[in-house]
Formats: sequence, C-alpha cells, structure tokens
Amino acid sequence: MTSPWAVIIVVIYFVILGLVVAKWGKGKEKGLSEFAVAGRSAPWWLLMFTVLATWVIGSTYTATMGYAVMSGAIGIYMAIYTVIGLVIFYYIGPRIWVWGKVHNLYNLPDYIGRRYGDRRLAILVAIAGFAIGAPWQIMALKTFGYTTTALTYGALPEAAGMAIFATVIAIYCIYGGMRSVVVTDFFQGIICVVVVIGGIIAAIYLKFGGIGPMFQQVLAQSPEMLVIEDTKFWTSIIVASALGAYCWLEIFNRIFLARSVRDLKIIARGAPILGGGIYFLVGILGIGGSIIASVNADLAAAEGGFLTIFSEVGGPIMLAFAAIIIIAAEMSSIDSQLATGGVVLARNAVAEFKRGGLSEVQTVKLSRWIIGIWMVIVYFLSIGDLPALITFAIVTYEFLAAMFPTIIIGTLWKRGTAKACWASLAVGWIVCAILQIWPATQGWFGGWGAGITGAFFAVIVYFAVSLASPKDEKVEALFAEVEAYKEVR
Amino acid sequence: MGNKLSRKSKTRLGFLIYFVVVTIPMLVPPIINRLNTAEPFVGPFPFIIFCMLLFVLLICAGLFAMFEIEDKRGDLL
Repeated sequence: MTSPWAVIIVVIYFVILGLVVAKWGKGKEKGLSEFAVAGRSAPWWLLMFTVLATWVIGSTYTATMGYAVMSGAIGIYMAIYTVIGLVIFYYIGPRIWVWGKVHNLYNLPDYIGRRYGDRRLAILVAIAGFAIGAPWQIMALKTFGYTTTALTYGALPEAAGMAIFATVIAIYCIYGGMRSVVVTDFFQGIICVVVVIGGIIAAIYLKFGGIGPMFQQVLAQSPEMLVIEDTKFWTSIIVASALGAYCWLEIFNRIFLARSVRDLKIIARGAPILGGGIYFLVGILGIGGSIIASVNADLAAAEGGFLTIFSEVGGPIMLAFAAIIIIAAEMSSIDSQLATGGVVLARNAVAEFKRGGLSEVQTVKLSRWIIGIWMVIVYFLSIGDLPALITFAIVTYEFLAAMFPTIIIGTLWKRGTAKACWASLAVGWIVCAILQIWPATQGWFGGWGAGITGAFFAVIVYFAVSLASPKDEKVEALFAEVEAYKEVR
Repeated sequence: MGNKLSRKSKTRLGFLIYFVVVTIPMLVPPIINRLNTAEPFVGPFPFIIFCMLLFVLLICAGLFAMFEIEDKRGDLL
C-alpha cells in the first residue's frame, strides 16, 4: 500500500532545511578562511554536530545495519572505534588547532606541509585524501537514489533522486562553503540524534516488546548472533579504523573550524557518548533484525533493514523519519567531503603546480568550480554500474592506517621527520598491498589484517628513521608555539 | 637528575593509563575471548554486548572527568 505522507513529510523537512541554510548558511566575511573553515568561529554546540556528522555517515543505517543483521554482535565495532577515535581527537586536537590559528592552516595537507616542511609530502597527502574519499561520495549518491525510490514506492527512479540531491548539495556548498555545511549539519544533526535515539528505542519496543525480550528471542533463534565470531578480526577492524580516522580530509578539517581550544575539548568530551550511543543502538537493532524474515533474507534486505523495520512498526510516518535520517546523515558526510576536498585540490594541488601560486580570491573561485565539476562527475559515475566500488572503498580503508604515524605520532612527537614519513608510508603501503593481494601471507603475521599489519610496520619504520635523523630546529620552534600559546577566554 | 613531570602531564598520563586499562579487555583477543559469551545476561543485555556498552560508558566518563579537571586548572592546551 502506498501513501503520499512519507514524501510530504520529507519535502516539508527539506523546505525548512533550505530556509535555515539560506538564512544562516553564509557568513558576512568573504575570503578563504570563511570558505574553508567558517572563519574559525564555530562554538562547540554548533560544531559538535558537524563532527558527529563526519563520523556517523549514511552507510551507518544501510551497510553497518546490514553487517549487524548478517554477522551479529561484531556489527557494534563502530561504537568502539568511534569512542577510541574521539579520545585521539581529545589529545591531538588542541595543538593542531593552535598551529592552524598561528600559521593559517585550513586542512590536513596544509598541516603536513607545515609540520614536516615538505611540499611534496603535502601534495601526496592531498591527492591520496581526495582519492580515498571519492568512492564514498559515489556510494552516498547511490544511497540517495535508493532511498528516494524506496520513499516513493518506485515512482521516482534512482537516477532522478541522485540528480536532485547532487544539485541541492552542490548549490549550498558552492554558495556558503564550510559555513553552510556547518549550519546544515547542525540542523540535521539535532534532528538525527533525537529521531535515531527515540526511533530505534521505539522500534525495538514496538517490534519485540523491549530490549531484553529482543535479545531473549535472538538467543532462542540465533544464539551465534550474540557473540563475536572472530575476535582477532574484531580487534583488527577497530584498531585499523581508529588509526586511520584522521587521514580523512573532512574529519581532520573539523579541528580548524572551532572557535577555541576549550570548544574543541568540549566536543571531544560530548561527541563520543552521542556517536558511540548511536552506533550501539544501530548495532543492537541490526542484531534484532537478524531474526526478522523480511530483513534477514539476503544482504540487500539486510541493508534496507532500517527502512523496513521503521516502516513495519510505524507505517509511512516512521518510514519518512527513517528516510530523513539516512538522507541527512549522507548529506552531512558528502557536503563535508566536497567543501574540504574542493579547497584541498585548489590550494594544495593545483596552486602548488601553478607558477606564482593562487591568491585567496582565486583559490575560493577555483574551489567552487572544483566542487561543481566534481559533483557532476560523481553523478555520472553513480548512475553507472560499479560492482567493484565497495571493494575499492574497503581496500583503500586498509591503506589509511599506515598514515597514522605521519599524522598522529608526528603531532605528539617532535622528533618525527619527513624522511621517516616517506619511509613509513612506503613500507606500510607495500606491506598492506602484499597482504591484500595475497591474503595467505596474513598467516605470516599471526592472521592479523592488512591494515593493522601495515600500520605496525609503518610505526616501527617511522620511529627508526626519525631517531636516526638529526633534530630539526624548525619543528622544535613549532612545538614551543603550543606551550607559549595563551588562549583568551 | 631527571625532569619531574608537570601537573598537566601527570593528569594526561593518568588518563592514558586509564584508557589503556579499560581498552585492553575490549581489544586483546585472549581476554575478549573470555568475555565473548551471551550469557549470563546483565540487565537486558547479553554479557559481551553489556561489556561493549560498559566500555563506551567508561571511556566517556573518563573524558568527562579529564575535561573537568583540566578546565578547572586552566590546563586545556
């Protein structure tokens, strides 16, 4: 049975969102600082949700949910990795923010260039960061298409849904840059937190009679879903994900948006409970879904399980809310990626190859062009059939962990050098590639995954080469700046 | 002989030790293998899922405490 109410609710929601972005989505200042980092002016309550939005992406409600449906308790790994990742944020965020403020840094390649004094390393990180994010943007557009079709009961084809959302997102990213992203994420983040927490708990009570009864039913029907099948894989996936978290351009970029160190640390204090809580709830709903026939039939049904359960317990109204959650989460991740990626390509790739570089005005203009053109490319890639896309995305994810010493250890340890970065990246990526291409070789390393093993070797090489290199006076001075910085409250 | 750790460094080291102690049971396979059972239920949760929830809550509580201490002392940076 079809009902127009789901579509009407979603349309009303997006009209309100459009009005909010039009009103508050563009700052008074113009220039690169405003476009790239919203003028470094975001208070904690505004930034909290954009940080959460970069962690809790749309695939949480499709792929992660599906993983919990098919594999059980291991699907809760995202809650553990999110909390660990945000502890790292607590430690590294303040000093990166200070360097950003003092040296006018806008993103990860800017920071790498300043920390190690190596432009080529910064260009490599810029290109790698952009390439790693690309498949996720394509998958985000595919999710918009899938959700639109589900919401309209097939009346609107997936390509049309993708086109609508690609256009809307490109417009507000080009219009207001990072401030429009922050405002959009704040509005959608509040709605999502309320609806996800309230909606999942309501769905569990309506469908199973409560959390306890749900787990008792799972225990009776599929007890294997209530334990972790492979604990070594569990550890590998959490450690590799947490180590690689800050290699994402958009996640690192959030640090520079904050108004102050205090605001940054309030976010690191509050975001883990919300992010961890959301992933925990999605995971247990997925475990409950493993005993629902309409959800556990196959992988496609499992990935659509969030929409299916909400629709079954609350009809078109709950279906509309579920669709809003998925679309909002996906919008909040793709807009952050676009706004950050546009500036990174313009400032840290194109400008580096252009003689004389680019002025701030030219960089903003070029960033806008890149966002627009890239969105068109992503759209045409999305409407095609790309069966290897998810494999490519997962493979690149494994390579991220090898960047951990370059980005995280270098932030906390002043002896880290550019040579150590090149050596650790080369070794980490080669080890990761070998283990990916020939999985049998993972047995040589105790059965640990490619990402965590590559990261392990990268860390050893990073320390060894750094200790063999002379101290760098410039880096000593950079670390002294953090100690000397006084925050005005 | 030897540099004494500052108050700020001691606090951060303390939290790091707390973080490692809480994290080890969740990530070291031989330990998590011992926790990896559905029964007995703790409240409404199977045992291993309760352990996951407890981990999230303990780390969040630690971050809250750490922030309060640093904020009160003016040691946030």
